[in-house]
Amino acid sequence: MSTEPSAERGPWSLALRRFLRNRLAVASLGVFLAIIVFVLAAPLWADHVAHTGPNKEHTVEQITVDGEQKDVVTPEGKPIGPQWFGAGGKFFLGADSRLGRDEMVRLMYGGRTSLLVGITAALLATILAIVLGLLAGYFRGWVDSLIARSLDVIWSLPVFLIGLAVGIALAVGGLDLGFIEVSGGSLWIPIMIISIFTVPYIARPIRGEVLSFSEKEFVEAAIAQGASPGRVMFTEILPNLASTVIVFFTLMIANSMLFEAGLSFLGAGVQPPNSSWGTMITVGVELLRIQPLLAILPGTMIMLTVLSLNIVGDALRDALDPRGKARMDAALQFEAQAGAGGGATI
Amino acid sequence: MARFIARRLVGMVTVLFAVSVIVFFVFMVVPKQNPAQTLAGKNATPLLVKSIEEEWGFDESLPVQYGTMMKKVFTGDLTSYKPRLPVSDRIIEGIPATFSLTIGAAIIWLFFGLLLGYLSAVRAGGWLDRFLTGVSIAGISIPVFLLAPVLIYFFTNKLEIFPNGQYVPFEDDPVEWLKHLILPWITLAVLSIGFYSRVLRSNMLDVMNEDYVRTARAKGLSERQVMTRHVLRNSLIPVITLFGLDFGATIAGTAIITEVIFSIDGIGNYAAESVAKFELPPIMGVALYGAFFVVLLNTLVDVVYAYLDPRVRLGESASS
Repeated sequence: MSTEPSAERGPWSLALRRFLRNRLAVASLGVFLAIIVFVLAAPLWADHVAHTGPNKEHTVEQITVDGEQKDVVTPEGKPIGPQWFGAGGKFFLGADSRLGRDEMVRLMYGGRTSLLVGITAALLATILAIVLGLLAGYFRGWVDSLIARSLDVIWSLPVFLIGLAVGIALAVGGLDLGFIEVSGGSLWIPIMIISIFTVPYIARPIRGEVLSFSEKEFVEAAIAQGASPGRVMFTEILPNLASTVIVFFTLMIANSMLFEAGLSFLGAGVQPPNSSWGTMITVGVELLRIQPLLAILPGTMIMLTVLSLNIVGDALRDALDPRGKARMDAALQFEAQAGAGGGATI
Repeated sequence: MARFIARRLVGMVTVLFAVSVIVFFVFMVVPKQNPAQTLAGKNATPLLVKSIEEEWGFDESLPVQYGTMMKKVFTGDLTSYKPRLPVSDRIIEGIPATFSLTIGAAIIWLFFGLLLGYLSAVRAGGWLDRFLTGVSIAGISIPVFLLAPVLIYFFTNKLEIFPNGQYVPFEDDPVEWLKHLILPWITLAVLSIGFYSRVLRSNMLDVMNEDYVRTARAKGLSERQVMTRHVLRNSLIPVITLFGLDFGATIAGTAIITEVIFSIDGIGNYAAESVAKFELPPIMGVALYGAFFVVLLNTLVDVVYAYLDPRVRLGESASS
């Protein structure tokens, strides 16, 4: 144990120390960072090791493995299994289907899409939730009623089913809202669907926190000094929400990635030519009897990512606010709701 | 109680209206292309598009169009266009498979979830608790689209214990029905087993600190009686609400994916097939019927919960 007096350290460095003491969480953070490096390295692996692209087909090609010629896809349609470095890194994890695409390259590029959609959707949902939570908690009255009721409605929807319907309708028809136009195959469609349907999970606890902060003396003092509502919300209250936001943002990335994988698996999320871990599982499930690895690999990647984020999120919660009963309750409620209605049921 | 039910019913109607408006806008209003083209699916003939346009009245005002859509959905008049089949027939055909899957899984997850949660709470802090907590966290973390392929790989491909997916109606052959459903049931139940055992454990640990538990011990009840009669009973109420929510969400979520992976011919598989073929009327039907069912179920659970636990309905009217 350190003998330094804790009063000399700020709350953030104390939280960091508490987080670092949780070895499981540090290891999980390591796993998550490793996954980020893995997907960022996709073009390097594709160009210098596999010499192919994620959508490049190798249907009738042969490769040389340890001086032996092998079909990438057998005449019966069976894709080649993992070759590791037998063919100099080509088809490291085998081919993905009768199209003969390189599974390793697809896994790396698919992960980029999954993480991109998950992180962007979580970010959008968080920003939207902060704005809604601040407005509802600060102004109260009819603003609060309107926002809180709308959040309640989304909260009670079977979001996955509705998301599925919305996803496929927009994938077929594209989106035209007058001021914004999105084509059917765009990644923005799953991102928007996920972020809108997951806003309540994070907006509701934030609203609760804003409500309690706006009764505190420092807010009253700011108002008495003549601060505008915008200033009170964004410079007085917002910084106090930081720890809640960090914890929920981490958990939201995991939740959004599961949501995306579920939608994409059913064909209502990421559309071709883009692919994600979710769409790769669709291909893999068709070949489950011949090459089970093709479904298990992307599924394992999703699980590792989601699990590491959840452990990190839990540890951050403990580290930032070890005695925060309210926040613990909010987070448990998040778990309960995400388990009941959201992506986590996937 | 009457006020509570009235309030819940108003809430339910609001949510149902919101669902139908979302579906209406997404299918009819926001797509860039002609909605008739969207409904007809990809590569539709101009003739089909023209007839859909007339059938749905897309030149009318939005409220009239909304009315037409709702009428079609609730008179069973909704049809898929390639091939032309009534949507409600396929949904009704899918009901036995979907409910066999979800109800069976629910029984399994309730039984094991509560058992593991109870054992873990009674032995809180001990090795059994730590082991069971580890098991639950692992269970929560496995998404169905990983668990299902792994189970099929080991139990169907390698060990050949269980058959390869599909659904056999119970009335045709109860034994085959059971054999075909065991893996899908496990797939669907594992996540909830982990989750329920964690929830029950934490509820029980909370209840154990209550005064009435101390009183029960003080009056000389055995540890077993204290645990089952006082602690467990009072910890079950939140679990039951959770179950009501979860069951609906499972039908409208994980069950769809499980049906697809195990080729079970239920409603979820119908929805997934329609997604793959870009056929929108069935999706519209499944989404609306499914959402209505889930919302109805949730309302029912709320009312039953309030009936069982007066604190809920009293708390609600006190806070408003």
